[in-house]
Amino acid sequence: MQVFKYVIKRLLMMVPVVLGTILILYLMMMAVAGDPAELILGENASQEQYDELREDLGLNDPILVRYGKYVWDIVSKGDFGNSWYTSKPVAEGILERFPTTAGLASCGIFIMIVIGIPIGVISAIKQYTWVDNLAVSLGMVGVSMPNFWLGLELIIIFALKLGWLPASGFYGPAYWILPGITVGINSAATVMRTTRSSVLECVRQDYVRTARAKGQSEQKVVVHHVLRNALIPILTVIGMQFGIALGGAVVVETIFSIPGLGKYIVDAIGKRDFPIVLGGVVLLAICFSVVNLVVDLLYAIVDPRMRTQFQGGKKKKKEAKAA
Amino acid sequence: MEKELLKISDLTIQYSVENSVCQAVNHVDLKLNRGETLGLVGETGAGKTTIALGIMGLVPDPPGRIVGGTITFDGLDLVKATKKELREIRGKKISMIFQDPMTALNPIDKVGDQIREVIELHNKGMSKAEAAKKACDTLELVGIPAERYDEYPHQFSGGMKQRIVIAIALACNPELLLADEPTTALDVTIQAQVLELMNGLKRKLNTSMLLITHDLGVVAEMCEKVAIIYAGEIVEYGEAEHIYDRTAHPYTEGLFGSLPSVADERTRLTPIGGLMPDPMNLPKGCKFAPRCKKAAEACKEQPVPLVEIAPGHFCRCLFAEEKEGRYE
Repeated sequence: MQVFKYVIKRLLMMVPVVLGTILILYLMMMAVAGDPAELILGENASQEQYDELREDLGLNDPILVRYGKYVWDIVSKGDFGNSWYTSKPVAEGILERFPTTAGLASCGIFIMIVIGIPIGVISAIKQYTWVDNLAVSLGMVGVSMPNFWLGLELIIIFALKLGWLPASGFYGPAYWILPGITVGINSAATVMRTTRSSVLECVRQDYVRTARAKGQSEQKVVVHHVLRNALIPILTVIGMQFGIALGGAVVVETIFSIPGLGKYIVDAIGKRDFPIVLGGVVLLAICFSVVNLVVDLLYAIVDPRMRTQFQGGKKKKKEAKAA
Repeated sequence: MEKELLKISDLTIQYSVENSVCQAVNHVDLKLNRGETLGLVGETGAGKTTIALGIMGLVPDPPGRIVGGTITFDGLDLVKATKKELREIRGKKISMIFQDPMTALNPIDKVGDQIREVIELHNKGMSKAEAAKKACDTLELVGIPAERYDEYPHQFSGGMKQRIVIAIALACNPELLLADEPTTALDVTIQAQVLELMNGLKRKLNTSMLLITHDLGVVAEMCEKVAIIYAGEIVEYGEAEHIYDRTAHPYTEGLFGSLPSVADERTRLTPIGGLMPDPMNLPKGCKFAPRCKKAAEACKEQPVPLVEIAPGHFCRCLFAEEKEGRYE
């Protein structure tokens, strides 16, 4: 029940965040987009057509009024406006493509967890050995590779030279592998480095010595006592990397020609199709906020000390008075 | 005849730090009989905890390493024992109470489960419910209601946490208990409670105990034998009465001198001047010579042997024998 209340509270707190995000984006887009009516009609349109379109798009209203209308349409009708070029509803376009992007980002998260955490743990336990040195060096390489470059290299090696995997498109499991790696490997290196330092810190704690003093096997000491305690910073980084993976998907989808949200946004930027860009970025911002909420809930599962955050302010005050 | 449970001979433990070697424990000999309590007294950094960790096989490696000597426990040399043998002994036959209760418990595990862990490890075949039941009993034993099984360490006070640490150490009725400053982190009233508790349990279970402390008051209350340790060396060793009434080593004298006394009307204490020598660079002769008021040239020339100055009373001082008359 307390958890439920907490989630509701956090979801409500997301509202101003999202509204603020939309406002900033709206102002930025307005500053760079030029005159939309001119963009849509091209140079050869008559003044009448032009005036009519401006009226239709509501471009004659003050900017805050337009912002208010935009937000109101989203809230009341789930309407993100229409594309300036195709006149199709943006909401439809986004929702159609979002699962692909979410899938790609999840693929990246999967790779980052499966590679990052085990290597980080092993590297910390074998500190100063060749295993550790190798892992740290690989980590350096991993974080230093930009994903647009890595994606192209992977295509050249695995698709063109070796011919093992398809280079572009999105039609089956095999198509997920290269983009997934491209999205995940950077983050895997970051997760690995965080895991390593967090585990190194925990491994020296007194309670780990207590566990050993109980006669516990080394393996269980590491998994049960060290890793569980080391998880908090790792979770934080994974949450942040999820945001980066969503952003990375924008680039990676373009490289691999994947019909996802990212490619949708990039194409729209090229054409200055403002409603699509805005709608897409707003959805990504909401996603990021939700992921952060999930991470905060996971904290509480991992660490009982974090569970006090579920108590409302009133209850805390009451307890403080009682004490 | 009393039976010998633990015999440490010539134990040397070193920590290697970059290019220098820290000589934490140097040629230590100790003996402990069943049911007996030995006090290990010395100032911070003297190597007390390292000796206890050496017995547990838990000297952090790297940088620490047992360089030489033997630790014979119940006929088995713990230095040469395999990891598996050590794991079976740890927590069951030998267990350790750690110094700082605030950090010695896993913050994300229920306290009951932390006790249950050690019970399950050493009672293979015991069901989870039985182990939990036994963990509850152990909690009650140290005076914590069993209903608090499901709570986490942060929900307990320091004294209660220390009692939980003690409960973990006692859960499997160990033959030897290594208590590393069990009361240092506690205030005086709780300290008395905890000592009383340990004494009671010791009598009940006939456990031997190695009590590490720098509090001579605690030693007087708890121990039959005392070893005074300085810079990784035993400087005086014997029955508690010997140490208290016929102090032979100048360092031990210094320790007593720096204690406040209820009887005396002293307004200032007499501290031991100077600092412990750097364990990376120990003096060649007597380690205490640089701070000793009685030090002569002879003290600084070569290592001073540990000499039995009276039956069962050992002292590492060139001038100790002169005082032998005091036994007559």
